[in-house]
Formats: sequence, C-alpha cells, structure tokens
Amino acid sequence: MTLRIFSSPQWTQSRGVSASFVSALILALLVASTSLQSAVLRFESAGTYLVDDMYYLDCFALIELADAPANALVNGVELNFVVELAVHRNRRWWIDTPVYERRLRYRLFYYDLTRHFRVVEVHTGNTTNYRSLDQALRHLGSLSRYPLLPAARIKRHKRYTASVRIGLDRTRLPGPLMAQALVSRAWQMESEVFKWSLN
Amino acid sequence: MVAKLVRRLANSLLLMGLLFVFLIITLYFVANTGEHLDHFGQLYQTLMFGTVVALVIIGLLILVSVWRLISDVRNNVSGSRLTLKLVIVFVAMALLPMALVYSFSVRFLNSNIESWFDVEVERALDDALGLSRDSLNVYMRIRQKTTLELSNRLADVPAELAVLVLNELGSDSEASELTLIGADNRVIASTAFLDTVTVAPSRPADDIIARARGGSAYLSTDPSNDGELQVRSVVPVFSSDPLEGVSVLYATYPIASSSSELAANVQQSFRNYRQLAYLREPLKQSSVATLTLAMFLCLMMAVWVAFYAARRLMVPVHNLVDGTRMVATGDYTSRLSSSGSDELGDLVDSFNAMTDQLERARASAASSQEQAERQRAYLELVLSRISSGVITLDQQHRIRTCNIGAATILQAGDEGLEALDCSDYRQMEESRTQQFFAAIDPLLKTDRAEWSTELELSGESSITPLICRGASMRDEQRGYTGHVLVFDDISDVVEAQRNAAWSEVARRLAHEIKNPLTPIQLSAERLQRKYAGKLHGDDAVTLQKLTGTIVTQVGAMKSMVKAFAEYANAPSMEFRRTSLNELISEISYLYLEGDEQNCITLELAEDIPAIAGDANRIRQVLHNVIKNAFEAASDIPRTSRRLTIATALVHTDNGEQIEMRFQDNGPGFPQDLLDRLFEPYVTTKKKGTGIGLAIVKKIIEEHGGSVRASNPPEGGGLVALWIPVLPNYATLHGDAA
Repeated sequence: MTLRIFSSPQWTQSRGVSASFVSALILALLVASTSLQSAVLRFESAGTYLVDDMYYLDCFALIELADAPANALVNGVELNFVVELAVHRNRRWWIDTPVYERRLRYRLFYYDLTRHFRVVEVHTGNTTNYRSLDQALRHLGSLSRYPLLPAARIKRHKRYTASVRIGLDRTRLPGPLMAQALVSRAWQMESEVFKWSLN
Repeated sequence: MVAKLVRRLANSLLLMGLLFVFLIITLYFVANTGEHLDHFGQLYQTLMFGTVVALVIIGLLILVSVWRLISDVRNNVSGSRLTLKLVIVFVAMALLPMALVYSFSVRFLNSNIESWFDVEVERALDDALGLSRDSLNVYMRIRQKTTLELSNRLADVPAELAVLVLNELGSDSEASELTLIGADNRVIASTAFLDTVTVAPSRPADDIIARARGGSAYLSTDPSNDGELQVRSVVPVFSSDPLEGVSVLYATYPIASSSSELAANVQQSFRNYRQLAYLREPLKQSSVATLTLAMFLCLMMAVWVAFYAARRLMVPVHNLVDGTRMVATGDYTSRLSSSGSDELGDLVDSFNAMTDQLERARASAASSQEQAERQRAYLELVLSRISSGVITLDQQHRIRTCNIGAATILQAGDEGLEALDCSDYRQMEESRTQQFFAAIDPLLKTDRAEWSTELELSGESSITPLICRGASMRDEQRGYTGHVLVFDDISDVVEAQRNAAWSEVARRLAHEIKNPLTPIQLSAERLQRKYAGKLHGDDAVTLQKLTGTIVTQVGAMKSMVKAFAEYANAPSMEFRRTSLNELISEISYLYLEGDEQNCITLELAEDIPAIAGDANRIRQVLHNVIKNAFEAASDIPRTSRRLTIATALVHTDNGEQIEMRFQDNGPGFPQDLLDRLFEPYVTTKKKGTGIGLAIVKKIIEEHGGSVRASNPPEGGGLVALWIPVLPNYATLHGDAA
C-alpha cells in the first residue's frame, strides 16, 4: 500500500479530492473560518508607459503568505498564482468593453534537494530559483517592462482603464486542502483589482 | 397552494429519486475522478453548492413529512398513528446496522491511513535526500575549484582577448557556459558550450555579482528550465593592477543526466511523501466526513423511504377508515379502489361488497318509503278531490287529519281543523264546526264500531243537511286508536228528493184536478145556456153570475193545472249554441209595448261567450223572471217601475260562467222566504201559483247553472242566474252543443 502511494501520486490526489469535497461540505455547513491569520496580497504600485508604440506595464504586488499556506509550501504543496491583466475601454452609458485580457499563471513550489523556492512562469516556461520565500514572492508579484498591448489598439479620443489583479488558484490545490482553502481566511488570497487610467 | 405543492414534492418518488441519484453520482464522481483533477477542481465549488442545495431540499422535504405526520397524529387523522409506528420501525431498522457499519468503518479508515506512514520509509527518504545533497556538494566543490583556476588564468587577460581565452579555457573545463563580467558590470566576454544556444548571455543576479567582487564566491546547484540540474559558480577575477576593478567570472556546469534524473526522482518521492504526511490529518478528517455524509445520505434515504413506504402501505387502511366513516354517516356510494391481491386487497373488496349490499338495502327501503309516500300523496289527493268530508281523530278525539271537503262543509276558517279537540267543541268559534262536533260527540263516546247519523247545520241564511258516518279504528297491539268520520252535504239530495216529490204532487194534481174541470166547465156553460132564457129578473142575473164564476174559476184552475203540468213534465231540451245577450234583447223587446214600456234597462256586457242551451227554455226563464219582477212591483205606479238586466262574464270555482242579474225596484223578497223562494208553491203574490221561479231554477240547473235571490242594500229584489259558458257544456253533459 505504501509503495503504491509513492508510485502513483494521482491516486493520492483522487482520495484527497473526495476527502476535501466532503470536508468542505461539512466545514461550510458548520463553521465559517478556521484560521484567524490572514494573508496579505495587494498591489503597491502599477503603471503603464508608452515606448515605441507599445504600452509596457510595471507593477509590484506585496505578497505575504499566512502560516498555513507557507507551511503547506515547504511540505511539498505547490501553489498556483494567477495574474489577471485587462484593459477596458470606458463607456459612459454602458458597461466598459474589454480590449485586452490576459491571465499569467505562476507555479511556486519548494525544491528540497537544493533548498530553493522555484517560480515557474507557466506562460513563458521560465523557471527562477530563490533561496528565500520572500525573494520568490517578490519576483512573483513583480512585472517589469511587460509588453501590454500596441498603441494601435488604443483610440486617441477614447478613454481606457488598465487593471491588474493577482490571486491564488485554489482549484489546483491538493484535494484535502481544497476544503480548508474554501473556508479558511489564511487561504483567501486574492488582491483587490488595481486600476489606473491607461491614457 | 404552496403547502400542497410542498406536500406533493415531499411525496414525489421521481423528485426524491432524482435528488438521491444526484447525490450518489456526485459522491461516486468525487471518489473516482482523480484523473481529471484540473477539471474537477473547477467544478468543485459548483458540485459542492449543488450538493448543499440538494441536501437542504431533501432535509426540508423530510421535515415537512415529519411535521405533517405529527400534525396528523395530533389531529387524529386516520392511519397516522400506524404510519408513525411504521416510520419509527423502518428508521430504527436502518439506523442500527448503519451505526455499526459507520463505527467500524471510521476505525478502519483511521488505522488504514495511519498504516500508510512508516518511520523507516521516512528515514530512508531523508537519507536518500541527504545522500543526493552530499553527492551534489562534492561535485560543486570540484567545479568551484575549476572556476577559481579559470579566474586566476583570466586575471591579467586584456578585455579584447578575453573571448579567445574564455573559449580556450572553457573547452578544457567541461563548463557549459562562461561569462566574464567586467568591473563596470558589463559582460566582457561570454562563451557557450555543449550545444547550448542562447540569444543573450545569462548573468547572475546583481547582488551575487556584488558579493563576488567583495570576495565572497557564490556556489549553488540549481534546476534549470528543462529540469536538469546544473552547478552555478560565481568567483572574483582579481587583476595584478590594483587600479583596475575586480571582474567576475560566472560559470555553469551541467550535471550528468543519469545523476540529475536520480536526484529528481529522489526529490519527487520525498516531496510526495512530505505532502502526504502533511495532508494526513485533513485526509483522515475528510475520509470520516465522507463516510459521515454517506451515512447521513443513507439515513435520509431510509427516513424518506420509510415515509413513502408507510404511506403506500397505509393508503388502503386510510381508505378503509374513511370509507367506514362515510358509511357511518350514511353515504353508501363510496367505493374503495382495489389495492392489490394481498390481504388488504381482500379487505377492500369485502368492504366494497358490504357497501354494495348496504346501498341496495337502502335503495330498497327508500323505494318502499317513496312508494308509501306516493300512496299517501295519492290518498291525500283523492281525499282533497272528493266533496265528502273525511276527518280522522286520535285516541283523545283530537283531529289528526282532515281533507278540504271537511273544511268546506264545516266552513272552517283559515286556521282549519287541524289539532282541534272535538270533545272541547264548546270553545270552538266556527258555529258549523261547533254544531257538527256537538252532534257527534255523544256518538264518539259510545263503544259502537260503526254508526251513522243525519244532522242539520244552520247557517246565517241557510240550513245544510248532513249525513255523517263514523267508525272506530282499532289496532291489535294498541287497541283503540281513534275514529274516522265521513260526512256529506246532502242538500242536493234533499232538494232533489223534494223536487221529485213536488213533481209527483204536481203531476197528480194535474191529473186528478184536470179531469173533472172540463165537465164542470161544460156543465156550468150548459146550465147557462139552458136556464138563462127560462129565468128572469134577479134569478137570471144570479145564474149568469154563478155560472160565470164557475167558468172563470175553472179556467183559473186549468191555468194552474197547466202550470203544474209544465213543471212536472218538462219537455226534452235541445242544446244549441245560444247567445244570452240576443235572447235578453229579444225578450225585452216584447216589453217595449204595453204597461211596462220603458221600464227595462239593459246593461249587457260585450263579447260575452255563447252558452250551450235550449233557447225556448231560456226564453221561458227570462219571461218568468221578468214577469215575476213586474208582478212583485205591482204596487208601484207603472211609470215608476224599473228592471235592470245585466250580463257579465265571471270566473268562479266551477269555471267561467255568465252571470245574469235582474234587479227591480220593488219591495224585495221576504227575508224568511229567501231560502225557499225557488221551491214550488212558494209565493208572495195573491194570485201566484208559486211555480214560476221553481221552473226557472229547474231550467237553469238543467243547464248546469245556479240561481240565487237576494235583497240588495239599495232596495228592491235581485235574482241572479249563472250559466256556464260553452266549453263547460261538454264536460257537464258529455255532448257537444
């Protein structure tokens, strides 16, 4: 039985999913939250600038994990973060229409062999290793000179709003943690939408 | 409306089946979809929400069923207590094995999960990881030494020759990449080996470069983008010229694929184990919760199925109770639907057969009662239509029933005769009723079974003869139960007898008197002729006077005999369509000349219908009445005599009749003779025979009519005649006019 666990990680996930499902159910029915400590996830700064007919994005998000996710991370649990970028054209009498939307996915996990925290940019495939979790989170929350969209897509007489948002993708957590993540504030890691005027 | 819908949903096999199937499929899906974790992760919240909603719905519907059952028990609804017992038994039967399975399963789950973790395995994994690290450290130190040697050889190499030197050194050093970063932090030279194609030379982070310039070399083993491990080394390159800054050499060395793969496997296994150990407690909790949910689901299913099965089982019992109650209230029309071929089905069939028999018996009784009622109604109808009076008395001689004829004969008032006490006749207000019961009271008190008596009831202006027959009613069980009295108004019989007697008298008088009259007259006339010439003087005058008197009186007697004969021997009549107005006008025209001219006033109604009558006889009637009126007014001067003849169509109980009124301004009729005015030989005139009005009455009655004489308040005498109009003639005589 033990050997099977190690050789078949997906089997473990399967059991975990069913268990987490029921845990979430029971926990949701009984209590709201199990952890008083909450994570920090907010954008400190974000802005765009025009260079060579291309809008570039610089942003920095402050990310601090609560104990539960940090503990899970060093115990082999992989955390998935999603950065949502969007540009909307403002409309006075109607809802704003999106002209650009993109989701950047990041994987953060601990590599025991070299004692590194690894950040994998799923959208590019780049991997970066960090000795400390703070460094890894700083990299994860930073975008520098990211090419957002060409200026040709922006009409001069229209107003546009850019927005950025980062959050933990809880649906990709291991099953047993999914229930906790659903109800625990420690796992409620979603930043507010940070908006600014593009032009 | 909502309560009815909720009740229907709670009893809906389809809805509850779908909900339970949904929950079972969800559980099965959750337990068997590990291979599709990514998709399931996205569906996780949706499924959980759906499950919560389904559980809440099922729980509410079960609560509704429980509440309804408790309400039924409190309201003593038929079958509710038995349903409650069945539900309790069913739930208890399901709960006990479920609790046993649950408790053992929890223990088994906990022990099974604990058995996954082994200290030896954990230690072995730690050791494997440590061994891998040590191996990598050894390799790193070797590469560190190589890098330091390369940095020493690059110490005083001019920048323009750096690339050539790096290529030369790198080809001998197994480095995959060498980068020389100058003091100004720019890349002086960079070379790549081992088929590595890079667009831009890689460089370490700025802080690492800064620390290297300070003398702190950097050494690490990092996984690369492709997952392969590599050694990264950053060392300072010191120049002999102290004025030149410190450069930095950055070198990367690949690790053999086999070693890297082994290390990655150790890393993966260690990570999986750590993760599993970390998730051990959540996994146990979740497993127990899964089991709890499954048991909870089974319990809810058991409760609902218990309700459903109990209700299904109780349907025929409930119907039987309701049917019995309906039968108890007298409703035998309800039939219970068959509930199968089991014992309850036999009971339902027997109940239906019983209600069938009861229904037939009740229908038979109702039919008998209806028949009796019809007979009673028919008897009442017959009694109401006969002219005889019928009265039944109870044991205390109180009137139980009486028909219309009795009330009519006794001239009872609006209150009728119901519930009158016959023995208390002295208190009665109606004089005829009082006279009647006063006459029969002595007979009622006798023990005679049947008796008969004749009596006369006197009214204000007439006397009514009655014949009354009485019979006592006796019952074998109760003995005497009352009397039945049958009495008839025999005025018509008495009058017919009187008329017949008068006719016989008249016929005999006519026959006996008429025969000697002619010889007497002839003898008187012969005496006149024979001795008139022989006598002289007073004798002759005396003879003439005497014989003249004899002849005159004989003539008068002949007239009287003739009148009698006419009364006694009325000729057969010929009924034809006759207009009374025309006859009256015709007769009155005869009186335009003579003493009574201008005395008759006609007030004839227009458009009165014809009658069926004998015109000659009616002319005789008119003559007699008019003549009688003028004779009655003989004391009044002729010029002052008045006779008004009026006709009108009137509606009476006997149908439509034509009324003829003859009103004079004479002295009127004597009050004591009013009742007998139309009897023969009743007259107020000195020379009258008393036959005229009798003939009038006789002819009118032969036409189905009636007569009446009275003295109106304004004075004079009034004779009223009524003759039915033409349609009634056929009814009365059975012959068309």
